Amino acid sequence: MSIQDIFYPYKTLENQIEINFKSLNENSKFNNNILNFYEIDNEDKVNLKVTAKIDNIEEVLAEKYKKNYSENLDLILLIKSIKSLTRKFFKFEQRGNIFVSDVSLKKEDWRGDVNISATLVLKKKIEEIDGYAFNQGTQLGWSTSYKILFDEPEEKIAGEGMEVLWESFKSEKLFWLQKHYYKNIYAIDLKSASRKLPKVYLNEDMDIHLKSLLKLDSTKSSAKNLYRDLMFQNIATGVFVQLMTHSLLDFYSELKFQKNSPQDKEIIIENAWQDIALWQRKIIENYATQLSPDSRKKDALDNLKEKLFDSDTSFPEVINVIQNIAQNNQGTEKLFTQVSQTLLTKFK
Amino acid sequence: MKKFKEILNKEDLINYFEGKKFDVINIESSLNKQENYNLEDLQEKFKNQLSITDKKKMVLSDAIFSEIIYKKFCNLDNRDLADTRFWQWISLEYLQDYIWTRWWMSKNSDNSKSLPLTNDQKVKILKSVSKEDNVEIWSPLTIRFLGGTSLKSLTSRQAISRLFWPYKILETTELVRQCFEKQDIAVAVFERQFGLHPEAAKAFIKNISVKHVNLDKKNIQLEAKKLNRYFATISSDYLNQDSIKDLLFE
Repeated sequence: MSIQDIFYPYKTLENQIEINFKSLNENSKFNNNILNFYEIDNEDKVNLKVTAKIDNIEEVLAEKYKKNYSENLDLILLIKSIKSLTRKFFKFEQRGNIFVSDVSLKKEDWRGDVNISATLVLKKKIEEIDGYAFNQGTQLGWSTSYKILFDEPEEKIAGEGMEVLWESFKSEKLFWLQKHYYKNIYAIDLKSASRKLPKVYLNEDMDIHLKSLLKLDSTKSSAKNLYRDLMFQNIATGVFVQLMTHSLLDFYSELKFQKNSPQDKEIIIENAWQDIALWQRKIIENYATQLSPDSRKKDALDNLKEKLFDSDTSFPEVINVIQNIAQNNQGTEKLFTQVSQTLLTKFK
Repeated sequence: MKKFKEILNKEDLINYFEGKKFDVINIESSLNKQENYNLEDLQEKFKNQLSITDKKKMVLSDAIFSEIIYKKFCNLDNRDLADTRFWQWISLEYLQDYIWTRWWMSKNSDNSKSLPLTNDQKVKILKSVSKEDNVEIWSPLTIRFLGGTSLKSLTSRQAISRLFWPYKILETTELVRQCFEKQDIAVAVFERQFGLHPEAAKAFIKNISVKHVNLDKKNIQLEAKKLNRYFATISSDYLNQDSIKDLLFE
């Protein structure tokens, strides 16, 4: 759930907190809000100077508190890392209208990703005035989040694309294809992929004409390219269906596996979700609206998860339409129409 | 001290019991911090404690094992303590007997007749195939050896790290005892993000038995959910135990 999805029954900042990170280490710099600290040798801590600026900070307080707003508001820097099992916060120091904080993070204390962001909070409990926050610690505004990676990400993040490799299906590397499937055109390696995005293999030993067609990289409109696209369409559909089925099956199996535990539903669903690979979560998330077509867009993923938890008949129902989702998303109808038009024109 | 080079998965666990050797590497804590780490000594302590523990009441021994494991490893870097590979290695190479006793034998009194288990028996317990539809069935025990990738895997699920982390967060033997005495409390706290915030975890455990003397599972879950909901709009990190107590009793 993103911050924007939560309804706040009190006044929050209109604009995001502006935040700026400066790494004091010579070799470690943020790039697109991410600092890959694992790439840097010989440094055992990250030293950061963080500055923040807030427009109209007093707007989050009722009239009577606006004048002395600093008595009631604190800007804090939140540092969270699920992998490190650690959360920390530092208070910013206010210098005029700029907030400043120096932070030092030792490598020995952290593992995986560390997320850092600034949050404006209410310093103490104040009088309850309609439309305004009054509980201590209430969050009133947020900055964007920055990330420091203390370890190389274990999983390829979806969106980077799948690796497609040419390989003989008779090779030792693809041993499970050697005996019965060595003449196939394509294959996916789900078994050795585990938590990484699976690779797609194209058979190096396929017919030479077919191979040259598949290797065409022209984008011109021609019959050859149309047939090539048709073949790739076929491969893409097969790969999509297999990846989606595999992802849903893994999630469903985890749900069933964890149902015996004493936890409540929300925790079982969350545990099962976290226990499948990142790429699997991404593929389900990306197509959640189509897997759960009667849901509102923002509820689709949660509804899908609950549906799979609640009913044993839901899994076959969901699996049943994957082929159709693939067709919807890969322009199958358009491409098939183009090919049939070309064929009919050619052989008329 | 070591850790596995790669995180083991379910299939690896089976292969391990079938005799496959997995590559190990040194942990990252400096050698100073690893001083006096005699793991045979730890193994012996666990063995002795197991020998005097009533197997029908194994659950009640969690707090005792928690203190042993915490005192052994508390000086290591957080980076190592948050590494699943380290806990998998310790579990399989040194503390397997404890895990089989705590999570398999104590579940059914008949199981005690089978101990010690051969590796073949271990494999059969961990993985079976359903005769009806030929589907693989994995025992929940796999999680106790392997943990998982989610937040809760080390604080609540992996058999040895789930003893260590609550002690590290709660800091006192008394709170650890209260936490494990009623296992629903441990689950409610350490399977939620607020469990990583020491003040929130301590406040919840100290006060839940005050608010609900009977400590019903439903009430524990309800209060944990309620607190979690507060933390959607309130920064848990910013609050101290007293303020969190106020939320619990609001």
